[in-house]
Amino acid sequence: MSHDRAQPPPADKGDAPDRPHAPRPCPGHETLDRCLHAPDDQIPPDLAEHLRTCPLCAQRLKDAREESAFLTRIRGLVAPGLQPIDAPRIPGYRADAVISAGAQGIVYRAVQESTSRIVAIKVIGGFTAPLGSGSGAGAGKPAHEASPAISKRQRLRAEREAEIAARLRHPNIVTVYESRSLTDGRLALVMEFIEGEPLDRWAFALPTDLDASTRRRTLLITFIEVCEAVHHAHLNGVIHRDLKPDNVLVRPDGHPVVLDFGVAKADHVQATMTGEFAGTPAYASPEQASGHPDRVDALTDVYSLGVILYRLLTGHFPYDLTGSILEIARTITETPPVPPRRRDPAIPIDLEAVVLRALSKDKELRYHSAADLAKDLRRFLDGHPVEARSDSGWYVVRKAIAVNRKRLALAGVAALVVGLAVTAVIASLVSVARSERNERIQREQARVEGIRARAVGQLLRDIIPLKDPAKPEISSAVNAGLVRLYLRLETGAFADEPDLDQAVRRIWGSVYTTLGTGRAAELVEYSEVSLRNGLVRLRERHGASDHPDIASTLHELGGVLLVRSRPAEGLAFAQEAERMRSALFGPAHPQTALSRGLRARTLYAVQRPTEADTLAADAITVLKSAAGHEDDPLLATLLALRARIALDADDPSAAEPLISEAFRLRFRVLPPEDPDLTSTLSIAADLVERAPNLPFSKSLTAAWQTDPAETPAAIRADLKTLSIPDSRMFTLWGQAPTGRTAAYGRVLALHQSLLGPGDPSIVGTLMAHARAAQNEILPVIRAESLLRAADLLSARHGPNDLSVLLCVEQAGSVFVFAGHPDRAAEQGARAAAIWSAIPAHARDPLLAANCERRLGWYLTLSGRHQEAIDALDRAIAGLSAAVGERHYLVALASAQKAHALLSLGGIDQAEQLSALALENARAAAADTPIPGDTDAHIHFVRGHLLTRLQRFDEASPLLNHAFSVGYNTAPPMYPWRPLILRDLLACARALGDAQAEEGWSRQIDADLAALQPGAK
Amino acid sequence: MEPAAPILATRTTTRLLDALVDHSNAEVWSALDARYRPIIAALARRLGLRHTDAEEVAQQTMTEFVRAYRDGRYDRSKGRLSSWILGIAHNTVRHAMRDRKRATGSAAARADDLPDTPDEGSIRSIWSEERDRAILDQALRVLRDDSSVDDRTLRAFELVGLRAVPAAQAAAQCGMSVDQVYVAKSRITSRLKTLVQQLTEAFEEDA
Repeated sequence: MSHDRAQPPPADKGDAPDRPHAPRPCPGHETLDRCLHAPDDQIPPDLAEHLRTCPLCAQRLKDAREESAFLTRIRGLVAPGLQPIDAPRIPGYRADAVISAGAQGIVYRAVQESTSRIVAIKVIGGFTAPLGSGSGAGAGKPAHEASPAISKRQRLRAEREAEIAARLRHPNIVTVYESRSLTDGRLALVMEFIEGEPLDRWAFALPTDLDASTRRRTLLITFIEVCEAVHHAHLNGVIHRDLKPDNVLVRPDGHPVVLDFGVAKADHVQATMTGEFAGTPAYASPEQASGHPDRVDALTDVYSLGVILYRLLTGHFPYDLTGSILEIARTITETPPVPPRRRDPAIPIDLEAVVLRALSKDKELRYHSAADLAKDLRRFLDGHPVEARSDSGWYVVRKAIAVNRKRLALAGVAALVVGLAVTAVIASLVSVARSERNERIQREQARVEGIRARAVGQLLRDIIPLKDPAKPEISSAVNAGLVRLYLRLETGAFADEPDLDQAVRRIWGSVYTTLGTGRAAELVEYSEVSLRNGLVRLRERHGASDHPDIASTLHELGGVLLVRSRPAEGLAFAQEAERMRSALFGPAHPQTALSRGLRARTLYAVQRPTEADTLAADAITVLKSAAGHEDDPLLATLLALRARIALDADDPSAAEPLISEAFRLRFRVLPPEDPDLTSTLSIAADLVERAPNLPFSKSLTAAWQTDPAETPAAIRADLKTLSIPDSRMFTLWGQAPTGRTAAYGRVLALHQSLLGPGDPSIVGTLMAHARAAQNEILPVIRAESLLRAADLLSARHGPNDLSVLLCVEQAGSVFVFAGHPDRAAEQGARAAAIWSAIPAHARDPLLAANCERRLGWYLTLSGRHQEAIDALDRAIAGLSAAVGERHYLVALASAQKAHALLSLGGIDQAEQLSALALENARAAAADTPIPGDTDAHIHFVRGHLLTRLQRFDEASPLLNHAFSVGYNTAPPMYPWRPLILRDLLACARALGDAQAEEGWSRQIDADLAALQPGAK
Repeated sequence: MEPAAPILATRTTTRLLDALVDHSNAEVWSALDARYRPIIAALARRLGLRHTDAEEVAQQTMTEFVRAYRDGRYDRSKGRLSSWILGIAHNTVRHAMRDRKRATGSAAARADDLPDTPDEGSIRSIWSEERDRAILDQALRVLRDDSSVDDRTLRAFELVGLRAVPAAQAAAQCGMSVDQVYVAKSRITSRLKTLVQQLTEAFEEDA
């Protein structure tokens, strides 16, 4: 018999009974294998016989036994790092374990051999379960056998996405080192190996000794990083599409890392919903669940982030996810999420609002980016109002008050400076403007011209300036919205709807050009790029022919170039836009006129004034007669342009009616801080200089209350003052005023003389005036402006309107601050009356009760103690019902009542109540930090009482505390400041502290000196 | 695998050490590094360090080893190289554990308050096991990167030889006959044995 080990002999038939009497053939491998571990005496006799006679087979058995011993030894060694059977053989890497296996592929842990670096390798395309991971049909088969090969399209897409994902560099996104094509057609991504736990497991394993709020904070800080990482990817055009806790690993240091960007494919998600899904669709968005992969965009990831956040906070999913895939899909698309607070009432209401907003079924209502979600969470962490609740005006007021109260401790009062809240409330109107804008987008889209950007710009102007006395906030809100829009545009959010894409690009461009905001240079640059991209696409679609969309884009581009000080380039676009619109709509169409007006502006900028004037005059005529354009700011711009040209040509009488009309228009539509308005003022100064006797020049001189010869210089000086950005910083007591209030006073006079004192647009200028007075600490002027604004608002919106209330409340607190408690009490009573006139469902019980508390306080200061006690009793009841008895506001109201009682001689009752208030305040401080002014107030009342009772050693520390956290920054005119100083002095004297006594005496003298007439 | 590595992998440690004195010999450094780093890291992990900390310990140990070697602090007559490296590694592990304790605030660890690790004997046996594992790893790597070994043969060997899957099952999975599976197992086992032997000799010769 001759055989070698590589060529086995004709094998026996395994277990077939050996034939008797015939020589046994050489045993096969399997037969020998069974003898490996058997002692010689247990080998079947015929085989034993054969082995004795066949030296080759004997040697085979010996070799096999040695081999077996060797393999047994190495199995023990190799097992932990055994390369999985289906691990791809990628030169340079050695896979040693399967990390996870799912529908999208298998992830292996591997070692890069040249560096010993541990990496993770994800193999995409075709599912195959690794050995030992299950007994599915495809288990163990090579990928290309187990599932249909991925299509060429899928593959190209996967490769492209992988390539983009590989370029993402972010500390919270897993780094992809390289991607390789495998010989079997699969794709392998080599990436950073992250040692960490999936986000949910990490969250649920947070130490149990953490209190709920610390735990939440820890979760949110990590979650915010996840949002930022996702946003970074979005900015790079990568959408995750399959965000879930498993795709976020948290490193031991608490920093998360997002995995699988660009790996999850839309096709996969679709397959999911048709019922072949291996994982859980729990994190899918409504647009995914309803089988619309084409609607998947960055907001899909925002939704999934919302589900993750929900789960982290509550431990549950937002919906009941039982049932078939189809039922689950329906739940996701139709069922509103269970409010998180129903799962866990300890979740703060703001946080709940954030989660629910991220989970909006309607994409428009969701956060517009992951960054917005992160930002709102950060606002929540910082105790600021969250944008998610910005729809509720009252909510914003309350938050603004809460946040600013601390800041306003500077004034030393527990005043609710509602003025800041006014701006916050109005800011919430922006969201209304935004949604109305969207509505317009849709409505106009149906029209031949598509969406006209001007309409949106107009809408913004219509709504914002009148209602909003605080342009800066609006601007930043609008700016933020525009940036979001830009990001969505450039990440292809509207790619499937080219008309919308174009429209949005133009709107985007127009806001900057027509709102006359030339300040945001960077944004205007985006705008230019965006419009140019849009133009290229339009040309691809419509060729060289004229088209309304092309005309609009050309127009906006011309405007952007003008704003960017490139008028010569802009002129060419404006000219082409006008020509095209004229050809499409006719020369007298308002659209054509708008382009003509733009051409006029660019011509002036390239120093061709004569042509500019003719065109501007023509455009003005058309626009004035066109419905809806009467208040177009472009009209004012063109009027001012013509006035400027007339003045340049030394023709003031031609300029005068133009400039006067431009002012009227601008006052009506722009807030006084708008640069357009101030630039018009500069033309006005020139006019007065050239022709002081013209009627409008006289109006200006009257408003400025100067000698005609000095008016131009005075106007220019004010222009300078007004163009300094409103820093919103408080002028410190005693600091010289900046003159801003006075300048606004003159603008106000002009505004009134041009439009009449009852014109509602005056509110904007009044509020600017009030704000300047606030900054310069001119409280009486401020309060008076607020009250005038309240009257105008009352005439327009009714006496019980929110806007009236805000002005009145603010005026009340300003009067106290100014040392006029009687006037404060008057406004406090007015505010309380408005509150009671507001229907119960719209009334915020906390704010209403707090208004009573303030009224009580004003009454105490006015010496009307019994009325004060009544108001404070109502306040205590209302506040206790609204926020609970332990809240610091209840303690504050109690302290104030104690003070009123003391003034009425009820010293025992006052003593008890003040002690209780202090105790409650201290208890409340354990839950929420108490604002400094409130804390000061409560301590002061107790200290004051103890001083009256001559318990100086107890009183002294309380008074010192009150002074250091509140009253030290109160102005000398604040009524309680002299009181606390006197008490401190008394304590120092009684306790024999000569140094303190001297210090307090000096402070009292200084305050008295500051209060002398003319001190400031 | 890097082209130079298979040659260096079987070069004896002594020869590598001699070449190490030459500062410019990066190739040798990386060969020694490849030889010991995985063992040190594995030891550190088995002594309770996290993956990244263990990698850090391996890095520190190797750096310290080369610095000491170049400074002439290694006296061959006083012990085997592996014992010396093990000593450095053990020390580095203990420091890393102390640092970790300190970072988690579990105790105010002092320099003289190093955490306990298993006794010398246990550590030696872990070391030796990890060394064997590293050798086997390296041998398997050579096999896997050997283009003359086809995928099916290798898979058959892995199933039957390393995972003790019955030959018939492996045959079905690999699309081979049972006999072919046996042949594959024998051929590869024999290659592997030779490789392990060569590599072990290269390691051992550092007395």
